[in-house]
Order: sequence, then C-alpha cells, then structure tokens
Amino acid sequence: MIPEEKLKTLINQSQVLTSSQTDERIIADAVDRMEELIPQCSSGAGRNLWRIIMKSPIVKLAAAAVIIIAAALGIHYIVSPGITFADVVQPILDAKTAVLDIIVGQDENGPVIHDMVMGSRIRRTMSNAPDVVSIIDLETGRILVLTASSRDAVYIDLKSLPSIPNYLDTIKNLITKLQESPDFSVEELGEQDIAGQKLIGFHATNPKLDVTIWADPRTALPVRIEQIEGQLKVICRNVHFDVPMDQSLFSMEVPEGYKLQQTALDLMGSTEQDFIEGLRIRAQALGDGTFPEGVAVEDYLKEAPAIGKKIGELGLSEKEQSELGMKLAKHLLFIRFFKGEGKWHYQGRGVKLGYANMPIFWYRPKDSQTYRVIYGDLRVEDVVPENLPELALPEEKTDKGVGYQQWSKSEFVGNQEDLWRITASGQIEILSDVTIRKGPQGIATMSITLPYSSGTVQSVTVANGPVPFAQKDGGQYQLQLPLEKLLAGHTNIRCRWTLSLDQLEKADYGYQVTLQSLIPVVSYKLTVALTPDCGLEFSKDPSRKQWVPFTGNSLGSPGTRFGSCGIEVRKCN
Amino acid sequence: MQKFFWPANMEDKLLVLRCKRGSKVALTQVYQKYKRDLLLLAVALLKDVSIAEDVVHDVFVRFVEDVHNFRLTGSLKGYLLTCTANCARNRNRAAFIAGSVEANPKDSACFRSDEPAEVVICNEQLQRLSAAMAQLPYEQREVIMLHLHAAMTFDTIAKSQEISVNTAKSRYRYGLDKLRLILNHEAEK
Repeated sequence: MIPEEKLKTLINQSQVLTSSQTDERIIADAVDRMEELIPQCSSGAGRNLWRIIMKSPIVKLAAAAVIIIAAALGIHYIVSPGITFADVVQPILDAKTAVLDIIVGQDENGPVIHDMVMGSRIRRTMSNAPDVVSIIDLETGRILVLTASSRDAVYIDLKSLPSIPNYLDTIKNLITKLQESPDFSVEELGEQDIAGQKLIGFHATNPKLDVTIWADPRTALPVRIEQIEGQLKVICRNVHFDVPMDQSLFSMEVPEGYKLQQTALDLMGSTEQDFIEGLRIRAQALGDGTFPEGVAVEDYLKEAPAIGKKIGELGLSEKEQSELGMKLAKHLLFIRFFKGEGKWHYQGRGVKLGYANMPIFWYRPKDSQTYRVIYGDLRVEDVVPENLPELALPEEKTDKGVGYQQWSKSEFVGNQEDLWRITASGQIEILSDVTIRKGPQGIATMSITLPYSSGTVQSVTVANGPVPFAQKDGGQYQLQLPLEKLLAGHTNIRCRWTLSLDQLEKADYGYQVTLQSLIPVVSYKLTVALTPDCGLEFSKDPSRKQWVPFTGNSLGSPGTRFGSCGIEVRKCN
Repeated sequence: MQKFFWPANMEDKLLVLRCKRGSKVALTQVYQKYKRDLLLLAVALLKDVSIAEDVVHDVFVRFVEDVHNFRLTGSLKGYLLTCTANCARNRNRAAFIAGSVEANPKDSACFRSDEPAEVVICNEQLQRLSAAMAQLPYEQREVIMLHLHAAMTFDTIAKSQEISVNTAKSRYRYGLDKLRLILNHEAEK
C-alpha cells in the first residue's frame, strides 16, 4: 500500500511549466483589468509618496549636487537651451544644509566624493585626494580649490562660461526634467533592508534617464539616489539634511599662507579630436607609452591623484600645467556627455601608443551608419558594423522577460555562456553570463562555484546593477540577488572573474580547460578570446581573435560538469 | 551587505499592498510566485492543461478585481489556491451540465510541450498523478489536492466547500484509498 507521505511526494515532485505566451497572456489580461479598475493606479498612494519625496528639498539638492560633481572636472549636464545656470543651482540655494557622499561608477568601494552643502556653497573633498578641498560658490559661479600640502589656492571662474549666449547648455534639475518627460514612469520597489536600514524604493525612468531613489518610509526623505545615464552611473548615498555646520568651512577667502592662482574653466563642448588628444596625453605623458586602464569618468576619478602627481613631475610651467589640465578636462567631457548612438567601447588597456593594428576605441556618431574606430596610432577610420573589432565584449543582457519559474527545489537552474579572454599579463578575464530559468521561492541567496578554486570573482551584476557577494571557500561564493529585479524579468546574472593562465593544465596543443558552470545549467557555451598583445594565437587559424571550443546541453537533469576541452593555441611567431 | 530576506507572509503582504496601489510589477511577482502551485492544482483537478490555464487566468483577473477589498489574514498562496479550487469546481460543474466532462475518466490530462526554452511541460510525475486523479470523483480529488498540495486543514476545506468537516474527511479517506489502489495497480504492471 502506498503511504500518504509517498502521495505527498508525488504531488511535490509534480511540475508544470508555463509558456512565455501563457505568462504574457495572463499577466497582460490581469494588468488590463487592473488599469480598468484603478485608472489612477500609477498615481496612487505610492505615487503620492513619490511626490512627497520629490518635493523634498533634499532630492533637489542631492540631484543638483550630483550634477555639480562634474563642475570641478569640467563637466555639465546638457539639456535644452533657455534654462539659466541659476535654475540649476536654485535647489541648492534653497536648501539650508546637507551632507552626502557621491560615487561615480559601479564600484561602491571606489573613490567617494564627500559634499557638505550650506546654502549656495558646497565644500567638496575626495577620498583619494584628502589634501584637496574645493569650495564651490554657486551664487557667484566660482570654485576655490585649496591644496593643503602645497599651500596652493586656485580660483576657478565658472561664471565666465554663460557669457557665450546660447552656447553653453545649462543644467536643470535632473529629476524635475525626468518628471516632465512624457515617457516618465515610476515603479515601486517596495521596502527593503539596505545596509541595515529599512528603505522604500522608487525606480523612475524615461528613455534617457534611469533614477532609483531610496527613501526613509517614515519621513519620505531620500537617503540614497542611484542614477544611470548612458554608460555612467552615479550613486548618491548617506544623504543627511539640515546637519549643523560651521559657516567658516564654506569661506571663499584664501586662507593665510596659501599662494593664490587664478584660472578659468572652459566647460564648452568637446570633440572627437579633444578626446583623441586626451588619449595621446594619457598614454604619452602620463602612461609610460601605454593607454590607460579605462576612459570612463569613474576610471579617471580613480586615477586622478596619480595623474595630478604625474603632471607635477613633468616639470611644466604653471601655464603649461593649466593647458594640460584643460585638455584632459575636454578629453573627459567627450565621454561624460557622449553624444553618439548606443554605447562607446574602449579596449586600449595596456596597448602601446603607436600600435597601428589595434583598435582601442569605437563608437557610432549620431545618425551615422558607420562606426568611428580609433586605433593605437590614434588614426581614425570609418568602419561598417560587420567589420568592427572582434573582441567587443558582449553587452550585458538587460532585456526584461517574465522572470523565472519558482519551484519547490532549493537550487537555481539556468543557462550559461562564458567568454574567457587571455590577456598579456597572463591573466584570464572571464565573463560568465548566467540566465536563470528556475529558482526557489522567495530565496535571494545563490551559491556559485568557480571551476577553479584559485579563481577570484571581481564583480557580479544584474541589469548593470551591482550584486553583493561574499567568498565562502576557495572558488565558492554566495550572491545576494536582487529578487525584485529577477522577478521583474532581469534574469541575467553577469559574473566577472579572473584566473591565472598558469592554473590551466598545459598540453601539447595548448591548454586543457575544465568545463564547469557556476550553477546547475541546462546548456553551457565557452568562447575563448585572445587579446592582440597576449603573445598567443589560435593554432588552427591565427587570424581569428576568438573561438568557441565548446557548446553543449546537459542530458537529463541540469548539471554543472561538462568534462573538459582543449584550447589549441601556440605562441605567436 | 544588502539583505533581502523577509518572512514569507510579510513579503506577500507587501505584494498585496502594492497590488492595491496598482503596481503591475507586484502583480507580475504574485503571478510568478504562485503560478506553478495554482496550475498544478488546476491540472490535477481538471485534467486539461488549456482549461487549467484558463482557470489560473480567471483567478488572477479576479484577484485584481477583488484586491481592493482584500485583506490578507492567512497566506496568499492558500487564498489563491482556494480561488483556483472554486474556479475549477465551477468549470467542472459547467462542463458537467454541458455533458462534456467525465466522458472517459481514465483519460489523463492533455499535455503539450513546445520548444525547450518556452516550456509548457507537465512532468512525468504530474502525468502519473493526473491520470490517477482522473479516476476519482471530482469532490475527492479536490479534498486530496487541497489537503496534500495546499496543506489546508479539513476545517478550512470544509468551510471553503460549504460541507461538514466529516464529509471532507471521508471524501479524503475514500479518495486516498482509491488512489492507493490505482497507483499500486499501476506499480504492479
């Protein structure tokens, strides 16, 4: 006789999966009904709270402060003309005091810009340049930069900029702009425990901007703002409003003992040629003949102290230093306010200046059918899309599906595609893209195991947002997945990890690689790429830059082990 | 490190609250979270995947219609499963009146599968369960599934079906005995 427990087991083991069409039909019909019954749904209670938050002075202040980050770097937001500089800074002028931290880029452990705001003045420091303090006076349009170690004081005049009528695009409050957009939409993220604080989140978007605001549910005051614009992410965190501060901290007077210099900051638009000139300077004068690690704003912020030091060592006159600084600012402006279509791509890390065969940067100008490709010798060519450099990293999948199927089992299951790039340093840089198909209900922790215990996870992202992770044992990591994003359809997890080439088993034909996915998967694909300067080439076809040595499906139930395969490479002749 | 853990009921309460506010994302999340349980119940009760899908569809549309007056006191899963059972019962009655049901009680559910990536699959266990269930009277199927799959007490089942607790228990016992015989017989084959 079959006992009751066995029947229960049979029921528990019963599985039914729905097609995406079924999911879409049911969700669409339910949503339609929701819209019929709650026409005001998008402006319901949640929206009211959103409005309260948006009216809060701190948001305006913080948003404007984010914008002003760039002022000292020679950056400005570009919106429609006709709005004055004063419009942009007005929210800051209105605010009494505030303290906030700003991070540019994904790395929350990267350099932090710390702002103290009092009325129209901001006192700004950066974690990686502790002896430099900037006082920004928005009312007069001036910045006073004080360097404690050298006792230098520099006034940067911002006010001269709008003197060119209708040329300088001015700034407006980003969030107001967002709200005024006809495509503006806001999505509640619910309440979450973030860094020990219970916060309520709102994700506001229009086609060009993406802002997530986390607020204290009791006061509706925002404490964290995450903004994505193009390829730039800015995080505003630890926001506190009405913090008592000593007015002397915001003085625009040059302190006694400081040597005064005066300069002007040209915030006018930047061209491709400005960008190339910056690349040349960064490689030639600052990079010992090789191009920099990265050209994003966050890369520059990280390198800023080293760049400053290097400029100091060049033995330039003050005038020459100033000109060099201006050129670098313009170089940065090109990226900060990138006006091309889609994304720009940089692949110049470690490439020597003058290497004519190596494409280091490419982008598609607005309304252009072809790409502009900058090579290692800094010449530029127009290239049709099919002839683009092969080593372009796949873009992170951010398309939304209907989520993943939740099941009674405790493990996540998906598909995985790996790209292993063998670099000149003897490191393999690995991008593992895992798309989740099934997962346990309500569980946001996921364990992953690297195929090599000596591998090191560098970052994990979902829909371009960072995912916290912790190492358990060698090669084993635990991820804290953003369940909301996953359930909303962002089921692609991108894991960047590195491995020393020495860890691969050497063979007569090259290397033998263990094929193992991070989680149980139903399919696994491995692509191997060689960077041009890595000193290796594919034995069968040296002209190729990448190769797919393995693609396969697990037979029966999902698995992690797919055996091993050979990579046929040899040293370049 | 960010924490994303809440008690299951808290998460559901938040989801319901957001659905009340008109959050489509929350509605999608409710669907994604419970569709499997609901569909499994409907398939086991109705033997037909496409009708089961329609039942789940109706349950979610009705959930939206009632969400404003809905107060989550127990579990959202239990509530949705009860709705599914009620809806399936109504479908079964309607089909019975129309004379299109129970024509061949040994028929198992109609299963279909599309492309692997876009799966609509009832696995082997469900096919086996459904084939066995199909040989039971509908009322017995319902009590067995609600008790074993939805973990509902006989008291709750009795209230939801407007029958006495003893009736619910006896339906369960009779159904279970018959199910055992069917599955034992299947195993002997």
